[in-house]
Amino acid sequence: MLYIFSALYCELAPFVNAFTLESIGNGVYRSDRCIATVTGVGKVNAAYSVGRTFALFAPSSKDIVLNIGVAAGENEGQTYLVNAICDADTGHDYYPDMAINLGLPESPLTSVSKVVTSVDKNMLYDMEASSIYQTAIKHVSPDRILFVKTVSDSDGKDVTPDKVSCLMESQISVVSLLLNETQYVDTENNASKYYDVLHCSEYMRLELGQLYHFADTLGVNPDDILDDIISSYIDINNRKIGREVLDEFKRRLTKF
Amino acid sequence: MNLSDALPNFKPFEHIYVEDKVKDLPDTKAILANFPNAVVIPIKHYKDVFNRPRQDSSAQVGSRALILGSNEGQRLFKGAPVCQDFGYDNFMYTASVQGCIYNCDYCFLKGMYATSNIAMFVNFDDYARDVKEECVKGPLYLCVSYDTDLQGLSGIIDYCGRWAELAVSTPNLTIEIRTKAANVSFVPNPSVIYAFSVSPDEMVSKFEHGTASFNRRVENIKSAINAGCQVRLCFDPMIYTREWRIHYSHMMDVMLKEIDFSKIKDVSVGTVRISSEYIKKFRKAAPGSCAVQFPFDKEDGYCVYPLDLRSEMTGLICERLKGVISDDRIYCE
Repeated sequence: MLYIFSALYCELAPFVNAFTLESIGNGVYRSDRCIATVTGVGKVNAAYSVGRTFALFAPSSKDIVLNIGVAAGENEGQTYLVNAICDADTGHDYYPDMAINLGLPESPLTSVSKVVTSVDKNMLYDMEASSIYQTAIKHVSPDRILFVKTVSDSDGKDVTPDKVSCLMESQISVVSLLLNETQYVDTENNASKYYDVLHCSEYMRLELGQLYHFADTLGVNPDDILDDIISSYIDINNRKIGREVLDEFKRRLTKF
Repeated sequence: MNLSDALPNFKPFEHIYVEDKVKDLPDTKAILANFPNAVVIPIKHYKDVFNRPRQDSSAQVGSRALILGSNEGQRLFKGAPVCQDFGYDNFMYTASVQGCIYNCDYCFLKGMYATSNIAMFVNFDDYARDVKEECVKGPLYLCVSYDTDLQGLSGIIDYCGRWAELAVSTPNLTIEIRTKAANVSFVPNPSVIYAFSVSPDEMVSKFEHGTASFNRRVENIKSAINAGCQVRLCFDPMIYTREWRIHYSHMMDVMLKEIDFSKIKDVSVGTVRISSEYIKKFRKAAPGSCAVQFPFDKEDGYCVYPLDLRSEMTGLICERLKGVISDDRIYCE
């Protein structure tokens, strides 16, 4: 799942339209692969919204968190991938991993509490990123948290919703790329078919799963070995015999 | 040695984090010069990046970052009980670099560090001072390539050469430089031991990603012997696979043919052992690797092969070494 967080609806609107996200109320939009949230402006609003969204949807460690929106900076219209975030109020620094290549130039960013009226060279300014990182890192790893910011202004002036939406439209390809990154297949637990056959306890299930997987990594077919062992028994009618089968399975796997 | 010679399969660092206090040091500048296309990100302290919470080291492997900093904390550590001390009472290790450019499935660094990024400390003089102070107390056996592979990094900074110089000039100091690198440079001196990890090619390609091939390692060993170096061979860790007997037997055939064991200082032989505390992390990081997915026995806080398997595996090597090197020069687990 891709979780998108933007401060304003006008930042999110191009993605809601492009990926036909459905409103489910309270500024949250979703499809089967994406949940997008309008956080509101500022660090408190952002932290609250990320926390609330994650409480509702319980992200897995494989999910991706994207904070996308506009920022103040020098080169209006240029989009950056943020490689360092400084919280201007606390002085704390945060470093998302640069593990996913979006083909964008990189920049550090400072999260401030008030709109900036002037900018330093080679620095972006927003009002949410540091709190989004702090909240998201409790759920996913730093390689799964990305901040993509397009420069809208350098002085807090002349920033209209239409202008923001227009700037964000160019980032539909970035979101599309990240949606592909979130596609993964959970591996099926093929050992489960033996649980009842061997009368497995919870502990035996874990052990069987581990041995079954180990057999896979050795390049042997675990079914062939298990079926061969099981066929040597007339009847496996209790856990004790199931344990014997499991022990023999382990013995054969570790005796090449 | 240039970077591409030292690291033929190495993907250059794209991101280098640099502590503010080391940014103007000559070593920092020299290291950065190797990576003109890298994005340099200033940081206050190396731990701000290296020790971040919730890092996924396996996700970082393909895009490792380099962190340049100064280690102001402890720089010398007592050797762990599972490490062979080769008979030295004062057996210590040091880490002028934390993290490795290679990616061995069974490597203890996967459990020890939360990251695949590499922290390189450019305050070498502080390390040298600590070591000299320790050597005043008596003989010190120091592993300098323990939390990394320093030879593998020699194209970036020649810490191996500096450690070797220190060993030559410091009474009571013996250092061990252990490596799986492709190209190795040598300083022939009794105080410098070059320890080569030796594995069959099948194990190298399956479990020791990015390291030198078996043949390359054999060439390195021969070069070290010819240069008059102290050479240790480490058949450690041996790894169980379906065909382990075939692969290790073939490896020994080649070793016995190519290497003059009379000129080998000593040999260590051992099988995989992983801290029980970290086994889940290892298995998550290498889900397809039988080196870590093995149904280990647990002994004294470590995951180990069953005793009979350990004996059989190490026995295969020790048996082949009979007659070519004296028993007192074989350290077997």
